Amino acid sequence: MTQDIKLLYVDDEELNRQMFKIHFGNDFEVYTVEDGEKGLEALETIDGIIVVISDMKMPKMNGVEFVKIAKERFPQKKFYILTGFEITAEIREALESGLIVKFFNKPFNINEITESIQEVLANDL
Amino acid sequence: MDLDLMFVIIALLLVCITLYITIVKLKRKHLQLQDAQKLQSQIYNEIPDLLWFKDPDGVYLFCNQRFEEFFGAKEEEIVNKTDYDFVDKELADMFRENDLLAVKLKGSSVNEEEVAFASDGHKEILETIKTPIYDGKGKLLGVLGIGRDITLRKNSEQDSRRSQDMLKMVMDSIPQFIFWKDLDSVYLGCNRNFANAAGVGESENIVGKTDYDLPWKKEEADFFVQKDREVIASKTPLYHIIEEQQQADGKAAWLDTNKIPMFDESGKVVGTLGTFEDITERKKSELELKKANEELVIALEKARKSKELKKANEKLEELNTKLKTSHKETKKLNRELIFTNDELGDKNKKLEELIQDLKETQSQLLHAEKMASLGILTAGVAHEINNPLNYINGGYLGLKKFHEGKGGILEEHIPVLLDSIKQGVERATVIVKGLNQFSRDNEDYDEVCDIHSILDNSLVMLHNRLKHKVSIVKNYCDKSVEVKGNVGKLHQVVVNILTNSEQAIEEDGEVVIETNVVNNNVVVEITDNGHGISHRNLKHVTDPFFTTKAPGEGTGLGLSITHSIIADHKGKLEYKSEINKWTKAIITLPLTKN
Repeated sequence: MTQDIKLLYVDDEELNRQMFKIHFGNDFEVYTVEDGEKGLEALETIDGIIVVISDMKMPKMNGVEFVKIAKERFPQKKFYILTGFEITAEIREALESGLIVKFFNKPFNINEITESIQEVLANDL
Repeated sequence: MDLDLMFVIIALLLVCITLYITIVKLKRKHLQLQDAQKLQSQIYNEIPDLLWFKDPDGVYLFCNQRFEEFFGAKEEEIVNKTDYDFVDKELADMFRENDLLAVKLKGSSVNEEEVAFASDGHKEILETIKTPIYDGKGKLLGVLGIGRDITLRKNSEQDSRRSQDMLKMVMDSIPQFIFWKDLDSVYLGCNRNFANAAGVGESENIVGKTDYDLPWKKEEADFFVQKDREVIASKTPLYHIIEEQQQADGKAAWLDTNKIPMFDESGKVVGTLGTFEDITERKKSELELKKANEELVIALEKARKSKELKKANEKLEELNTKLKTSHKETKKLNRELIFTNDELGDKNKKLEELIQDLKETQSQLLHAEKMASLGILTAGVAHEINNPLNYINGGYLGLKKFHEGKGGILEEHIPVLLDSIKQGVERATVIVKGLNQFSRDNEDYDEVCDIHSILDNSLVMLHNRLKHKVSIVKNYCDKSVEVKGNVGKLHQVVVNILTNSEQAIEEDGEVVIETNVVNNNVVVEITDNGHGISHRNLKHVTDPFFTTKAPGEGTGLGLSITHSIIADHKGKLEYKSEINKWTKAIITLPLTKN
């Protein structure tokens, strides 16, 4: 069941993290961190995280930068970008190179995200 | 020996001597007589003249050798004969006549005759002197005749006469006037010209006259005599004495006279020789020439003047022509000027139109710039608003799920959801308000502008861009700072500067905003630690269209508009920078006076 899927959400805004947890906590096991560095840490320490969703605008390193490093370390994990921005060249490149599975706009569509995760995991199997 | 004997001897001796001497004397006398006779005879025959003596009847008593030659006979043959025995009758008659004439005159008669010598037939001119000879008692003894060959003399006389005639002819032929005077200035002779001038007729008539006897004026005569005296005294000639002389015909003449002293063999002055030329004509010519010359000079002067005048005239004409040409040109220029003026008028109109266009373009550019800045903002703002929207959406979705009983939303989640909505609305409101402030599009400069609030608003608007890249440090002064001006435009200023600061920062930077009150002005300093501005570019940052960004990445108008807005607020904008280190924007604005 989806409840077993461990999901990491990276966003520097507290309220965003809270909201994400509220909305997705039911369907997934949601972990949240506030920046890329903490994100990598979490991936190291928490075993079994399959999906990573990251905000773009963050201090120190932005979403794509974080994903690049994380993907290298954890090529099996699935990465997504969630952003309020329009698609940038950076994001497009990440998309095309398969770095990220998909990117989502804010405000997020819960169904869209849930479906995409299920799809990608189903393909994997 | 006795004394007496001695005396006798001596006496005898004396007598002998005396005798001897007497004999000698006698002998000598005899010899002398003989000699005298011989001498006499010799003399008679040696003398070249003819010598004869006839008795009163014309019978020859004696003749010399020379005479012998004449008659061609010996003396012995001639003596006791007459002329008629030797010469033809005609000649003999003439001889006889002359003899008788001499006797009659009781003195010498002289005549000349050309005779032929019988000896050799040659001819001679004889000058015969016949002299009657008387004895002591006065009785005629006869006539002595002496005949001298004067042929040469006659010839030379003839030659002399001929040369005299020649001389006279020369003197009378030449145009000169010639005269000569003695030491007293009495005329001794002259040539024909002079004689005519003096009115004496023949030249000979001048002899013995003085200048006072001649037709010239007394003053003239005085002058002539004075000149004579000078020449005589100085013994040197005077040449080219120019003098006036009244002629015999009453007309005045001009003479060029030479007065020359005449010397005898001993070198003594004996008189003066005068020659002159009548230079009346020449003088007249001279005077005329002089007059003509003067006239010529005057004429020349006139001509010169006239030439000068002519030249001046020509120059005037030239100038006139030039003037005409320049006048034409001036007229032409005038027309051109009028034309140009019209053109200028047109151009002016066009310029005005152009200025109008430019003004419009400027407006458009300003607008575009504003839009561009706005563009930057909208991108940021869109994202800004997304977040609040996210919250509101999230809150709403949560509440909806709770209400529907789905999705695992619990009661304890409700406050978070509600708060999310609230925060979202608040944030969005702030952003919208800020945007409104920025986009106020009026031209009022009398609005109250709170600098701190404008700064904060601008920061909010740029929040998304600044977030995570730039940390903001605010050093506001305690007092509230208010400026009279245009709120919207001042927002534009701050946003522009902050945008530049953010863009100058690559990754991690800091912007310090400091406000201070200095001398009734507010000084806002915005300092970033971005890549700075080069010394060379620093003075150009506010130039219109100046940008260091790639083409298409910016209008380059931002700071120039910022600069003019500040100027409109009677403020000042200054930039300081150290390349690769920091950039500081200093805005000074006058505070509203309370």
